[in-house]
Amino acid sequence: MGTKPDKSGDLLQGTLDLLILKTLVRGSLHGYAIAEHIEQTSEDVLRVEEGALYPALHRLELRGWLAAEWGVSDNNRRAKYYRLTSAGRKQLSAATEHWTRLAGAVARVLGTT
Amino acid sequence: MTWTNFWLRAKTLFRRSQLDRDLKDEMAFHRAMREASNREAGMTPPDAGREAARYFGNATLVREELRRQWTFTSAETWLQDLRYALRTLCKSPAIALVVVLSLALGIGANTAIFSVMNAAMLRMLPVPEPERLMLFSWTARGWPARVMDDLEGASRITNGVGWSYSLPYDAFRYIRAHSQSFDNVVGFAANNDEMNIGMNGRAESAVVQAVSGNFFDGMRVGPILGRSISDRDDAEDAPPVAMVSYQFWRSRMAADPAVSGKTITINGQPVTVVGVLPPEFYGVEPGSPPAVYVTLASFIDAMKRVGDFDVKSPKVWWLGVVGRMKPQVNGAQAQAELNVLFDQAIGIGSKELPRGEDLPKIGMTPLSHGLDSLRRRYSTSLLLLMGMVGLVLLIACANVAGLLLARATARQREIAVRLSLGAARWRIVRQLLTESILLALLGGAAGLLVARWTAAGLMLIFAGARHPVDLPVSVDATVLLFTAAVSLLCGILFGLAPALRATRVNVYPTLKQNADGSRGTRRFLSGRILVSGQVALCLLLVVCAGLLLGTLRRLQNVQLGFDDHRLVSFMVQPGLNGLKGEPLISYYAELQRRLGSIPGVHSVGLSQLGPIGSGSSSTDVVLPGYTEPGKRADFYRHIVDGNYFQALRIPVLLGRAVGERDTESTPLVAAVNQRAVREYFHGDNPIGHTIDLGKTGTTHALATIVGVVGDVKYNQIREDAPPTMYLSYLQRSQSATFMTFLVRAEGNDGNISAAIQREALATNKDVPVINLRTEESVVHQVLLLERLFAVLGTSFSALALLLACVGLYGTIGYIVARRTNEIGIRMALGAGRGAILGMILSETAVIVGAGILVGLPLAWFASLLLKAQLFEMSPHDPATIMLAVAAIVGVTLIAGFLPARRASRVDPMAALRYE
Repeated sequence: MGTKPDKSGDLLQGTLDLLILKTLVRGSLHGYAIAEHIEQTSEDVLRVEEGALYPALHRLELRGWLAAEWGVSDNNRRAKYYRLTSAGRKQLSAATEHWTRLAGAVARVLGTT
Repeated sequence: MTWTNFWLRAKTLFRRSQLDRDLKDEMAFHRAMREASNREAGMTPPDAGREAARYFGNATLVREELRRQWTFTSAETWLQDLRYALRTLCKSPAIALVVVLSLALGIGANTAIFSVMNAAMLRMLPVPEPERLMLFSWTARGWPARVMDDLEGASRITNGVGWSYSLPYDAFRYIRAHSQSFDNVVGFAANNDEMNIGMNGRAESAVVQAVSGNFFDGMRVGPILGRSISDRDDAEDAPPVAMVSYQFWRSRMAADPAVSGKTITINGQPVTVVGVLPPEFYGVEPGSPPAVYVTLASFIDAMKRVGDFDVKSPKVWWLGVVGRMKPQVNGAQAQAELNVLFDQAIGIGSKELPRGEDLPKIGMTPLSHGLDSLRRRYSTSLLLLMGMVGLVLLIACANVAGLLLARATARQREIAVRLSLGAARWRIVRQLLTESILLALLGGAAGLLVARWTAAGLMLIFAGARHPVDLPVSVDATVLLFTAAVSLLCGILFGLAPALRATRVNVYPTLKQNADGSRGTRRFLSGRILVSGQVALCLLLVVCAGLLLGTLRRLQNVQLGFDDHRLVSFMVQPGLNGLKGEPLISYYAELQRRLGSIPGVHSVGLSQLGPIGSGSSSTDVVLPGYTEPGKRADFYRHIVDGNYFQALRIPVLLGRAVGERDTESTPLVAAVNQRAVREYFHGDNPIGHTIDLGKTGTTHALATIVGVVGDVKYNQIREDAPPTMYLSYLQRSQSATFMTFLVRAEGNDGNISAAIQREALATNKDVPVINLRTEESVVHQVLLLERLFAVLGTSFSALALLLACVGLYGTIGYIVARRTNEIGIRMALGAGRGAILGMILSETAVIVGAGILVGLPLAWFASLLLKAQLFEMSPHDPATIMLAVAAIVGVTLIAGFLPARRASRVDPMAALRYE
């Protein structure tokens, strides 16, 4: 995900959505914080670029999985905060399950030589 | 797109600036955070800022992407295109005006013809659920003499099979009483004639329609004033009642609100008006709205009184019958039931009337659009007119396309810039198309105005027809839809090619040199092709117009056989008031005498039917000694008085005319015309021979021929005079219920007319004068369609020529402008003015020549379509074609000459410097 989002690659797009949704389980965050969280939690393996992040955030907002409101950040700047909606939580558990199944399947294939 | 998605986007629809601000802020915030974290990580402030900027990437691109998610892209770009198109049009108002004007004329003419077509052919009857109405009609091979003596109303014969919708009275009652498939079965008299109406002491004439008591019930039409005619009113002893149409109530009864209960006289009999019908109801026949409706019972009564025929006889077929199908019944079921009921009613299949091929078979015709007499009469003409205006519109579109093509090359720079900035080609094409469609829609809107006036004018002309057409033509939803569709089509038609061409631009050279970047415009081939096409279509129109004009001229010069100048005609129907026998004859004699005493009047003749345009009456007779056994001779009839031939200046060639001395007590006589002599008597002198007119009662009516008169056209002008016989009205007084007076007079038309009205009033105040007009105007009216075609054809071709010339002028001018440099060089190298003139003129010649070459075969085929309208002219009349070509060449050469002359007058030095 260090490259521009591959629109035809549903897998990549869906994965980013999943990560964003998971990140927001704890509470509402602005876009920079979300990117930072993913970077740190993945130990710098996954670095999200703005060109991918914000289209994803706005897409999720338009689909009703995230709700957004404007607030003031710690350093007194105007920032847009995103949080999960109930629909978003449902989508999160569905996507997580899907991803786990997928990962398990890939692991099994790789596991057999 | 889910509801949430739509709703969120819709919320930002009117807060675009806020959306932009939000997006900008969000991106800026992210960058600021990164810059801050960079500084925390130890970078210097300027470095931190640069790194953040670099890492962020192209913020604008991201913002655009986000914005695209939040806007209704397609809809809003259309709006954007529209606004831009409007701005562009406002920048060149002259061109916009010219385009809108020519489109308004073209689209307006098309809409006008279409709205007339719509009113005459496409509109449904203005009643609820018109598609459930079925007209009962029948077909038969030949005349079904076993069941029919007399047939009233419209009938047609195609390939030996006759069709009519008139049924006997008893059949109507039987079907009505026994049918299960219809909610209502209603009847109406198939002939609705003018009758004498007496109101407020005035004698007038109006069309009266007899209907059954349940007619308005079945039509589901209610009165706007008073009450409807009901079954109770349609009984034998019920007091006679009537309903009036809205138009009659407005124009002749001064919209009297207290009209119900008022008494008027119809043919001398008092009738009570009980209600007024709504304005949009015009009966069952579009174009012929009755003014007054009476019951069948009073109609039958009146017929008995006048003594014309016994309308209750099972062999007299005179009643139109309509059924409103029940919703749950389908056509097949209704037809099956109808077959059975009809046969039972007539008695087909019984012992006395075994089945046979000659007996009528009942059928159903949908009545959703009313009776189709108007459609039959005018549909071909309207379609032809539609074709002509369609051509004019095509020419106008080609013109506009050429104009836009020329203008597009002037916008090369703008388009090149936009292309280089990354605009998709189709996006620019779409925007150019929006401009064209906007122009077209503006033209269409203006065209609606043009259409209203044109249609009104057309209907005025049709109102003066022999069967006057009274048809309300309005701009309704169908017409609007048509106009919108035509405008849209035009916009795409003339906009697409220029739009595609304009975007086929070599971006680099255009931007660099400010020069014309696209190849081929030097020759401007597309522009020339357009003009050639216009010339071809023009040739088509001019040839057609020429043929129609020629036809009209020939028809106007036809010898009628009588002198129609200084002749006034009018009709009276005293028989309808009950006058018959002696009093009837003396009425005619008295009126004739009084008219003769008017100063200026030379002679007064009588005939039941006027010579032209009054309908026809024919019969078949036996000519003893001349017709073969079993065969009969067809004769057309005129019932006249002794002064008729003198008043009309018809020559009496042999023997004498029928006249005063041929009365009831003298032997029956007749005069025949030359055609009859040629056709039936093989040139022998027919005087003294007899005509066997057939049985009336028990006696054979045998008329002795006493004279031969000149041929006179009968009722119409195109056909030759048919074999005609003239009988004395004194010997045929039982059928002389109405007569036409023909007055030959010198002097002021107005004075004569006033005098005639006076004398008629004095003779009998209850008998109105009907259709008082000059015989010339009658002939004029008969040629209505031909005149219409000639006038419209000429106007359309003139318009088309004008448009083509404008197009040609513009195109040649454009070509000259592009070749100015070249012209300068040629002149500098020694070419004289004449050579330049010739060079440019040859451009015109090539364009026009190509157009004519293409147009000739088109005109060849198109004029074949006109064949039915022409009279004594071949559709490929060489004189017309040559004149058309000459006219077009002449006019277009002038149009092309002007820019050519300008080119030859160019100052070479200025031309050389021209880029």
